[in-house]
Amino acid sequence: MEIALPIVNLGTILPQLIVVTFAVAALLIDAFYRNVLSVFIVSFLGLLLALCAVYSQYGVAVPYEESMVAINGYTVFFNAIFILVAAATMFISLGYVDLTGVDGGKYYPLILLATLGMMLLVSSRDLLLMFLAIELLSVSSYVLVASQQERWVSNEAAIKYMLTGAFASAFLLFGIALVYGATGAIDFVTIGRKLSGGQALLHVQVGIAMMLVGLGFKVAMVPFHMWAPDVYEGAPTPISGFLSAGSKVAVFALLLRLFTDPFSVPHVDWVSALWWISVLSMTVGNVSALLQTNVKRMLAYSSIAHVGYMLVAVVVLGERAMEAALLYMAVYATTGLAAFGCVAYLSKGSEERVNMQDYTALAYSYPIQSAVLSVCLLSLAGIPLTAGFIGKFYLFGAAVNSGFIGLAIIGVLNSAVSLYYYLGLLLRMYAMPEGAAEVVMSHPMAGRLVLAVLGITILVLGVYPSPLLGVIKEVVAAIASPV
Amino acid sequence: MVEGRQVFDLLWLVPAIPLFGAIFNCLLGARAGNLIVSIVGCGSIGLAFALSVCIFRAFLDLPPEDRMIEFCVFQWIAAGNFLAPIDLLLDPLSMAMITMVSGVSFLIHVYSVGYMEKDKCFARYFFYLNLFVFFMLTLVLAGNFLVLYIGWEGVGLCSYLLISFWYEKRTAAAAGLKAFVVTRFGDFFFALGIMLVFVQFGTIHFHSVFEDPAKVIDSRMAMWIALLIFAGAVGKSAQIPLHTWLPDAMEAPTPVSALIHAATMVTAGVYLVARCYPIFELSPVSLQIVGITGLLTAFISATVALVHTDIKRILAYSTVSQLGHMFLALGVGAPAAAVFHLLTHAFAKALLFLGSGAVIHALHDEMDIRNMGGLRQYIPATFYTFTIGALAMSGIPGLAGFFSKDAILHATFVNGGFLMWALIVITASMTGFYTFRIIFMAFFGEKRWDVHIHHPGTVMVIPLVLLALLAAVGGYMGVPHVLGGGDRISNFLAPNFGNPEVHATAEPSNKGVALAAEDETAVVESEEAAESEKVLEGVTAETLAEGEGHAPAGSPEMLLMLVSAVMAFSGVGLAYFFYVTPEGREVPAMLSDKFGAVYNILTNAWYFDKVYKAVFIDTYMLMSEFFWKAVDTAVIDHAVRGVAGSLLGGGSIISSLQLGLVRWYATVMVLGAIIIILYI
Repeated sequence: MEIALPIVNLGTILPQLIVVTFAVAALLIDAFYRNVLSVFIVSFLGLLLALCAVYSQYGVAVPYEESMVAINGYTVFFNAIFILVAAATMFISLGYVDLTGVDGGKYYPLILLATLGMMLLVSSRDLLLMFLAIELLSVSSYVLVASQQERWVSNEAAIKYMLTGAFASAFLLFGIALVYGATGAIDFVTIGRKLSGGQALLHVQVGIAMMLVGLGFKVAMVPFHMWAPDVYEGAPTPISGFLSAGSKVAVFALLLRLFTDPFSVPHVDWVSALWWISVLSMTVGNVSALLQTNVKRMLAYSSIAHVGYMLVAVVVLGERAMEAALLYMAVYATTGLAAFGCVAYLSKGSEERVNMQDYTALAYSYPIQSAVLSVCLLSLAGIPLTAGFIGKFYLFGAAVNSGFIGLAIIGVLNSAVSLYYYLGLLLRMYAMPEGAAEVVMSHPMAGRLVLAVLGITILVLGVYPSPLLGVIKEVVAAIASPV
Repeated sequence: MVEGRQVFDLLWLVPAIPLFGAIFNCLLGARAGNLIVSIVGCGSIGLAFALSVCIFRAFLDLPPEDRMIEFCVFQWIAAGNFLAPIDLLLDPLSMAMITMVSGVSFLIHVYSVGYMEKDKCFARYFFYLNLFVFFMLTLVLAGNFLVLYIGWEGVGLCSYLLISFWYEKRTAAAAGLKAFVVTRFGDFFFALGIMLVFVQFGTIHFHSVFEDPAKVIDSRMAMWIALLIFAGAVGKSAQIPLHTWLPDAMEAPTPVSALIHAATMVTAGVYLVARCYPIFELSPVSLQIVGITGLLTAFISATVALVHTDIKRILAYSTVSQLGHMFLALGVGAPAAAVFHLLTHAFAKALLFLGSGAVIHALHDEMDIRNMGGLRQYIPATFYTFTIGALAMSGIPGLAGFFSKDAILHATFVNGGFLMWALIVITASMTGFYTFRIIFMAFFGEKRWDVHIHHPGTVMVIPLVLLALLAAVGGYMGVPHVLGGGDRISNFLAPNFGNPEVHATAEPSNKGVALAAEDETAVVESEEAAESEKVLEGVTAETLAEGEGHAPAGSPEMLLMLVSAVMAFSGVGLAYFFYVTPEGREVPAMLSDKFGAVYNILTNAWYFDKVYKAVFIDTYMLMSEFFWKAVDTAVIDHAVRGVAGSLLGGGSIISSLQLGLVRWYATVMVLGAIIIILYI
């Protein structure tokens, strides 16, 4: 019997290969030397090399028909974001890991593996690889959430995340099976062609709906969001940032692609359903955040609201919405990560500072973290001169342009509601100190530097977004031309 | 040429360097110490000035028709057909402005180092001051209305911050607020004007709007746009009826008054109207309104300055009056004269304010001129420089103010009629009177104070001397043809405003001479670096010497000039009689007794503040009370509480669904999935 060996084009998957190689290498180093610093350095080197490899793919095009792992502007753009997010997460974890008793030797390689999952996810051509990538991402995330073994909430969060996650994966897999059954194909291009040919069958629709449930769980859209506050609260804070900036953006990028390309034909049915999900996510996220007294839970609900905003782009679709979505995701990845990073860097010794009341007058003890956190909060609220404003401006602009005026109005009203809790925290930080100032903890310089860079990036993008916009326009124009 | 281009590419650095200084002083100033703060503060402005001069030199090498350089720094927002680029425009008008702004700012920064050395908020002061310069340069370099508006609001903000710089003082905080609110009143209309421009033209880019506005709008629409824009200028440049904030703004540290409330920010309104002149030209009505507003302001505030006793307030009213002159010039079709007066006034008034600052400093914050006297012997450098400034301000022939004021008077006579001319000539004489009243009361006579004199340090004297030089010779950039000069400033600004028509119509018989003079100056112009005083001096000596040769004696312009000179001298002379000669000493008191009613009107500044308080503030308070009790508490609060309550209630309902139980989460997921599947 002849077995057809798959043709592997190593150049195409070079970034992914680098990441997996260095992840394994770092794990081996941990096994033999148990030196956290060298694990960190090796992992970081891997990310750095992978970034170079991704950069070298800029402008290269390997279409979906030719390879299981595609290369185009879209994948390059997102892979670069994931690698940067992962690298920033590692730096933000630097002091945190030592303080809170996380086993750094497993922690850093796991971040790399989760990143690999994200990278494969956006590059995947078919349902199979997509599912594998999501599972790789999810399993790594479960373990990362549980990495504070001595903290009870961390373990609880991981168990909850894993149980509900498995449930969602079942939905996703069932949906995949139905779609496969209806079309007889697993690759997106063929599925798209089949679906556009005949009329939409009921089990295709049910299959897509179930996939939406599975993916919706991963991005925490309402009503599949319930896990998010618990998990974000329980996870080590840098990982909360990583989940909201990395894994959420990765799955959302896939969602956007699925509903733009292969599923766009029976799309007509989806508009109103996604419209409601978008509105619900915004509203439930913002309204729930109003009441939170725990900063991490507040940011978790805020991230649910932001999924609602991003979904506006999936409802609207089209080139401008695509540009707006890419911009928004890039901005959100920066802001979400930086916000959680600041929370991590405001810890009191081994204890996290999560209670809103503990933020009173912090700006006088931790000027850098407070300033960056303020910038993040303003950006999340969409105040002009921050990146968040530009993101919302383009997103709602695209919605209005395509006639979704109601959606834009609801979005803007939601932003107004969100101001209450964002500014509440901000005001608290800059309130006049009462009583003696607390002893200031010193946090590692490198992490603070990364936070400052993220904060400045948010401001610069708010004033001078044209370079990023230029790249995004190029990317969207390249993939908008028929594949 | 290639090299020149490279210099122009650095244009963005002119505002960027002061911004860098501001950021540095804001973030690190408090830790860095006064020395570094002053080096960064003054150095950044000095660099910006040096760069402006380099650009000026390259600019003069360009042929006049090429002197319009646009420079897009970056695209800020591009959404559909709405573009908001940050672009800069370098043309003769903005070139002249940035050189003046950065130069005067630099001198005032240096002076501030001495003036503020004892202040505990030294770094904050320089942060605001640098930020101000950044916004001011952005304002004058703007290539579209949006960027101009950013600068416009930015300078307003800095003005507010600096007026209330000593915020522990109640009056200072109130004055800052007043300035902010009153100017904001004008800004509101200005913003409307910009929107109207966008609606009408579909763009806010200066070049496209001003290229040929007659194609797009008729004179009626031009009038609306012009009047809205002018309303903004009225607020910022403290013209009647929005002038009341400027005298109060004297609560600011004196160098700030010199920089913001005399030389630069308050002239932004003049600059704005000059910049938008193509639109104003389309509507004669709007030009008339501009001219009459300017004239009234010039006259009324000059009368108030006659009787005030606070040295800074006299100068403030004088500034308002001089700004009125500039608007008058704009109104009578002489924008080049307005800009010329703007420049010479900037030098002279900055000098006077800095001089008054030195006096106040010397006498331990004494501002009442009745408590000064005899200071001539104690602070001679201040005395001499102040006198030069006063002479220039009063329009004494030979000094800067004379030439620019003469250009305005002449244009008023030709285009505005005899009555306007007469009123402005009387104002000119009052200018001489009140400026020299300060000198005679503060520097002459017996000393009426009893403190240990603070001598101004070298860092304070040097800027005074340099400004005195500028105030003395600055006028030679615009010596009119009739005196044999080249009126270089009008020629330089010709790309902006067209050729100086006033002079041409006034003396058709001398056209040949004028043309010849123009040719000459074109040669001179290319050689000159108008900023370096030495060169200026040399050239002007030349042109003056030539001028004597073929000045057409007895022309009407000469006669007008003579009259205005005589009036200026008479004002000075009267001040001398009233405040120095023994016979005259009794006259002021006698006059104020005899004309008590007039005197009261003047000391109360024509009751503007009191009327405003009665009409606006008290009514507003009454309305506020009504809305507070009847509308806000009763209606709005309940509505807001209702919305907030329902949101929070909704939040608690949703949160109560968040049980923290995994099986409940799974149930919700299944329910959601069922709904979605059923929905489609």
